[in-house]
Amino acid sequence: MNHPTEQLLSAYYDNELPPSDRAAIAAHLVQCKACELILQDFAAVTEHMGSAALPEPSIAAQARWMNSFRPARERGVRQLAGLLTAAAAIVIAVSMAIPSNAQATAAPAQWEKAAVTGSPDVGTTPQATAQWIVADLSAGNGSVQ
Amino acid sequence: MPDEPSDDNLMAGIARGDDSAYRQIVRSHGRYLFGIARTLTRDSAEAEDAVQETLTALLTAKFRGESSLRTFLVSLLVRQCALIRRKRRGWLRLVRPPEPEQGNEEGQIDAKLDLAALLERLSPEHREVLVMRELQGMSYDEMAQSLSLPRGTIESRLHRARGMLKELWK
Repeated sequence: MNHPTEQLLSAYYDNELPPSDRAAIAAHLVQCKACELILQDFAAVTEHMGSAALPEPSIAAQARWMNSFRPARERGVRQLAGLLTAAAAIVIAVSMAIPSNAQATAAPAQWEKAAVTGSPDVGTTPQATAQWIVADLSAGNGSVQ
Repeated sequence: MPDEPSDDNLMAGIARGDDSAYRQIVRSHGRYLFGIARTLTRDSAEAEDAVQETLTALLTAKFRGESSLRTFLVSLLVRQCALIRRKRRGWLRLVRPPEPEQGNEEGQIDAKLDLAALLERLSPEHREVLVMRELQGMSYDEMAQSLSLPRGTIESRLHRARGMLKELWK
């Protein structure tokens, strides 16, 4: 076997290779001092890092984390409530700004115009006026879709 | 001694509003997360904040149990640390010019004595894989999940990071 790449050796060192690759590299290492030295370098990195003291969080921070559940939940609920309020406000504003379809499209009926303007077509007697209104409504004018 | 509750049970407890489940997660993972955050941010106060934000994010995050809770927390933490780095970079650009990559000779000698200082000389990407592997013992698959990277990228970054660290302390 040729020398494995250092990247492969690194994965070998971490025991992250499939068994077949691992066996091939193990066999190579028996007879290759150079690759063995590279592995020793990796081990030195581990040893160096392992000997360093890990940083510790402050007592105050640990206490803050432990007691942060309720404030964080309440903050989440407040954010959700704010979003819902904003959404509701948008729905109301849009519904007020856009007139309903029926209101926008229903043209005033003849009898409505006549009531306002005093159209000459309207009969002169109450019976004639009533017949005129019935005829106008029968024609579909003034019905709400 | 009673068994530790499973990750799923802890997350179910959090969903029910169970404060003790949350505290258990802080006890089990808080210091571990801080160790990673401190190395990634290089600042204790920022690391403590990053852990706090991670714990807060956990309350609304979707944990599907595809990885361990610890791996899931680390993935949230790495994102928080990246946000902090981005904010800090923006702020530093406003207040002062970028610092040179290499310190002075005296600084380099001191750095050899201090692992944290050595790690600071690596890029954030190389530092995070080295810390996750060497200090936290995470597997390649766990790191790949936490960092949302292909496993091959983890492998090559880790190898390069080891090489760079070795050169730095020679």
